[in-house]
Amino acid sequence: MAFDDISAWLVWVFPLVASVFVPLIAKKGDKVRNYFVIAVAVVTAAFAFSLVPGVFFGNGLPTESTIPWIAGINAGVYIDPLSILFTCLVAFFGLIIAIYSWGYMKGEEGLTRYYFLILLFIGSMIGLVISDNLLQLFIFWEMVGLCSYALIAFWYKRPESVNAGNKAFIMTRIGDISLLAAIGILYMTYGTFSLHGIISDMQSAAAAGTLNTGLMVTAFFLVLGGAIAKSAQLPLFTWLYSAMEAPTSVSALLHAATMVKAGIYLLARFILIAAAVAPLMIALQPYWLPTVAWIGVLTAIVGATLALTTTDIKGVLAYSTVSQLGFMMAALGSALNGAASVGWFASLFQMVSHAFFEGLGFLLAGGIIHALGTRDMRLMGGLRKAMPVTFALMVIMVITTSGLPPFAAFFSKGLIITSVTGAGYLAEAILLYATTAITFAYVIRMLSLVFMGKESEHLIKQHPHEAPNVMLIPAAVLAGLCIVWGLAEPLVQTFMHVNLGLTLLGSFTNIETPIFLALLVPTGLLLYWSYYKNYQAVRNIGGGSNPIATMLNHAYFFDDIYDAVTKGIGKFSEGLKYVDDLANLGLNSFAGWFVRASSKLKKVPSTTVQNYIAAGIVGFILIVVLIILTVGV
Amino acid sequence: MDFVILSLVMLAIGIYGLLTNRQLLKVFISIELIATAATLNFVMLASSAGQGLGQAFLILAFSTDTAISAVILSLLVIVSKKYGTSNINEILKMQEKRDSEAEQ
Repeated sequence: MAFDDISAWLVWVFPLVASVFVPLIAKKGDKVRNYFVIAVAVVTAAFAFSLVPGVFFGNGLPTESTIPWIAGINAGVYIDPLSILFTCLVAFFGLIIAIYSWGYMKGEEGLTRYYFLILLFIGSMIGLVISDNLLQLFIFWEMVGLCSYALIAFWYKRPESVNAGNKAFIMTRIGDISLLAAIGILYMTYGTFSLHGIISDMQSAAAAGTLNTGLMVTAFFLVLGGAIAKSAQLPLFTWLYSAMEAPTSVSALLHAATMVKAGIYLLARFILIAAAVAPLMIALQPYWLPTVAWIGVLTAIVGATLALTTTDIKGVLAYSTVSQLGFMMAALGSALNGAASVGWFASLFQMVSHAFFEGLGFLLAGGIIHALGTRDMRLMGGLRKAMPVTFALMVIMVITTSGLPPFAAFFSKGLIITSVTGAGYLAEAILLYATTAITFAYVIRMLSLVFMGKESEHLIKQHPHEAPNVMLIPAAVLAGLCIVWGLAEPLVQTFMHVNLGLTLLGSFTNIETPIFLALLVPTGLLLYWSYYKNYQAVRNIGGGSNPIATMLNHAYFFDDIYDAVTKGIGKFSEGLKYVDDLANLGLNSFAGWFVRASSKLKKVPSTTVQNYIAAGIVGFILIVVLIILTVGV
Repeated sequence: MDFVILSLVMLAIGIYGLLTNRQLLKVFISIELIATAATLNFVMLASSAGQGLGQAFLILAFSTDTAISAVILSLLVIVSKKYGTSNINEILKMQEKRDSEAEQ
């Protein structure tokens, strides 16, 4: 095995194995355990980044390393720019969160469980993105779902946390089934789970003219179903808001930076597969890609409008994540030529810049929640004097999120809009422009509610203090990355081995940028005006009783619909139970009669248990009679 | 294809049991029935297709299933001891009551 192969194996096996040792090492003391977890995260990150040069200076073609697993199926790693990009992001973010947790989770109960799950998550998430076959991918897909569930319900004594965990698990499960069905179709058709095998089988089928594109497009739609649930897209996005019951460090790692990107990874991977088979890519163009784009665009605008109304500081970040994931989906939907089109690269570029700015937002929100003991933004205000460093970093986060130049999201969002217009999706592009303007509005609203204005009464009571350095330094690192990541665009293009001919200067001079900036200016002025003229209007957005406010407060009634569906199932089950009880009553009285009849012979007291036994005997006799009647002796 | 029908019937009985029963143990039995139906379907399809892979996975499925059953049964004992009943509806009611009390 080459050095790269060993790294690629260890980068996910090491944290998985190390996670098992967390409970053992916790016996030596809390400090030792924390050092151990950070050490594991450092080593994992080292393994991950040791893979970078090989890909950067390589030819961009995937390499595999496999070992035999279960009868005829190989387990393996798949090294290509896409998987290594994700691997590095996950390992890096795992390290950031391992350090941040030291400060944020200090003094909590059950930290051994927490650290075990964090390491298990890092291992399985890297395993997911580096798997060379779909079966392995699916197992890790389920494992990250499990970690997500367990970490959301970390404070298991709070009913909201437990309910949110259940909700996340059940809703993502819908997508899991869809993905499993897609994997089933592919295995049934090609008899292999391996990515490499599927591509080469598809290529030979396409060359022979026997490629069943209809079936394959169905499989791709099922894959999209998996991605929708995991990446919190319309209509299965409501779990992400509920998932904010998790500790903030978990929200940053799982629900902003990495786990919710699994759906984006899956689609990016499948688009790569399709791009290798020309007829399949053509078959995807009429329906599949526009569907992806539309789901992304609608999710983006729905998430942004909801972020505008929520009063929960983590809620803003959660809906912002939903909205940004929508941008990524829209970009993937505009990748008409697979990796050769701007959309595919734009989506992944946005994926990384989103991880930086949203992760930064969560890390800062964690510090604020610690200082104030509440997540309700209406109780906050005037925090900039008490927490100046957090304020400065939050300003960087706000600028990056809204997409102002020259920070990371300016380049990624510019690329996405270029790609969507380039694919000829005009309506989608207009909606994306609107979303960008709303994005600007909601981040400014958050900033003004939390940091601006007079100090609130709650604030004066709490005597807030700046977050400790162990929490600020990871945030500062992310803030730095927010600034430089956009400028690293040419390097990332080389790394991803996409030849799009994009330059940094081009991002400023294309036609989309002026429209984009021109939209931000009136929004900004409007906000500025409302801030000074009528401060309460910003504060109470969505607080009225008009239909739009009601709709936004109910998150477009999605949860109400799901509630009605579950209630319907409950009602159906009640009705069925009633019928069942009637039948049982009949059976019981019949059996009771039987027992009474027999008790006359044997003097047995009549009880329900005996009724069942008697019914069993009656049933057995009936079966014997039936067999005799039908088969004959 | 008889075994497919058999496993479908088992699945239907399991779902019916899930829908109509409120006792934890019966619910658990129904879930087991569904799991068994799935396993049966899996192994029979695999063996009729002449693949060894099905049997390999069957061993995995059985061992996991046994471990899960042990955990679930012990949880059931704890739950029914704690609440004094094994009726799901009553347990849920008690929990809701406790939650609303905790909020106040």
